[in-house]
Amino acid sequence: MTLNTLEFLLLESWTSIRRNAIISAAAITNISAVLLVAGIFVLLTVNVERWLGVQAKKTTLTVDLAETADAAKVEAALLADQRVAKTRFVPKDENLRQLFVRQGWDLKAMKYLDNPLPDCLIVETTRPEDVPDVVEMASKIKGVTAVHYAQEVALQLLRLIRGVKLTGMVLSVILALAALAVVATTIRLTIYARRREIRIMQLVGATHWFIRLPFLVEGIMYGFASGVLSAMLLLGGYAYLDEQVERTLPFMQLAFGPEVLALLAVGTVVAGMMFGLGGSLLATREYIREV
Amino acid sequence: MVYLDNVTVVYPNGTRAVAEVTLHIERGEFAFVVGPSGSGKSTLLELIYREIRPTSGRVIVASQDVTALPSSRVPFLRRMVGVVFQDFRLLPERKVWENVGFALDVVGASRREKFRKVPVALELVGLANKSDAYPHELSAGEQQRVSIARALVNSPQVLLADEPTGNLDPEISWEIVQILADIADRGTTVIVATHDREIVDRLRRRVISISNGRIARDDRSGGGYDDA
Repeated sequence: MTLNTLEFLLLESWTSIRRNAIISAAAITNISAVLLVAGIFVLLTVNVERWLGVQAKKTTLTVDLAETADAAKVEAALLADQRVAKTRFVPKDENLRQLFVRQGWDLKAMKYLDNPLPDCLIVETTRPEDVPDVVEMASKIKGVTAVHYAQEVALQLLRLIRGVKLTGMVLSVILALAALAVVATTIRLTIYARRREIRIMQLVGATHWFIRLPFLVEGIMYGFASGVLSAMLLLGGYAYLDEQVERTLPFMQLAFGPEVLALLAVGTVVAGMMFGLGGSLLATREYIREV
Repeated sequence: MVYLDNVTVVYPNGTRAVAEVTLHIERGEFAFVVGPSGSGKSTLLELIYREIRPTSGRVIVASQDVTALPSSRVPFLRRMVGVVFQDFRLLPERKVWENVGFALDVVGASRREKFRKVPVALELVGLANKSDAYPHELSAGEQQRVSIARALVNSPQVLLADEPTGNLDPEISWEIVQILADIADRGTTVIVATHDREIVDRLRRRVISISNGRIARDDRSGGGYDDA
């Protein structure tokens, strides 16, 4: 390819974008929306999943004791099991106080309340995978009314998040198809606007791919612009969210470091360019008649 | 250079545009194809630049069987066959020399090649001094000369002209035909479809008369529009 050819092709694409500024803007907005939704899904699900993964690895469970139970006996029964590392007794008043602290209620109100909470034992297992077995074992001990563990909730949430992920993927696919259609329609309009030129190109012996190329470049340019736009919005939004989370939920860490975020940004741009290319391939195949 | 062997074209609606035409036009020859509108003149030219394929028969251009040519090879045929139309088909937002250079741009020519060939082509049609004008600043005759320059700039072996004088005054028409005849004298095969009897009668070159898709008369010696 000569320098002259390269200049010719790029100029053709750029002229086309400029002449159809409004349609071009619409195409870019639309692809950006798709990339943004997909990006948000990725960020959200991966973060929540990772956090839940950490919860699922916890080794703690809580054993509620009956009113009449002998805490020491239950403790002894638990510690007799190899899988139990240690136990700690928490009386019902302490439980209530912790609840008040967690909820930010006024502690003075405590004494007016007939404490509904039981005494309990906090049990730690040696390994996280032992938790369900220990739960099973603990719930059979006389004087134990209920057993709670973080894993339980975490595992349920993990199942839920898998559903969310599937929904996200389906939604992304639908939006991707919409983005392709928008690019294809935009390119189709520019093909129509330049049909005289195309006709002359065909007459003087331009190859099919040479005629298609400026339109493909145009599509890729739309995709690139959309990718950059949505990457900026995604990273900006993520940084803001990160700050908020750090302030309000100090126990929850956002999962991504700068390298992963850079990768996500590049991925967004590349995905945008693929949409642009795909849409213009479709349009040029359909609307530039092969000679 | 151009050889049609028993060619028939039937359009999907059943119209027989060209019927059993056999025709041979030599290198450097100038030939008129005449006949009333709808007689099949344009169809004949379209066969040569592979805009259409014949229903039966063979079309040979520059020793290539055009009928067997795959679509991907058609652009390379078109680089050997220049085409000129009644409506000029210039790009209004490009200058004269850009319009001519366009034919080089799209076949991947270098800038140097463009700067060498475009002035030569414009010189050939007598428009060297108008290269920076836009098409709308030119007369119809000048516009047609630009389109001839564009068709020539790739040095084609065959030049086809479909009613090139259809939009022009008699005087200008004669100028255009003389340019086309000059081109033939330089060794390019030129085929002009027309129903402009004045230029045909005046130039006295080969006349192929078409009627209802058939060759009614082929006067190789140089005839008039409706010599018997």
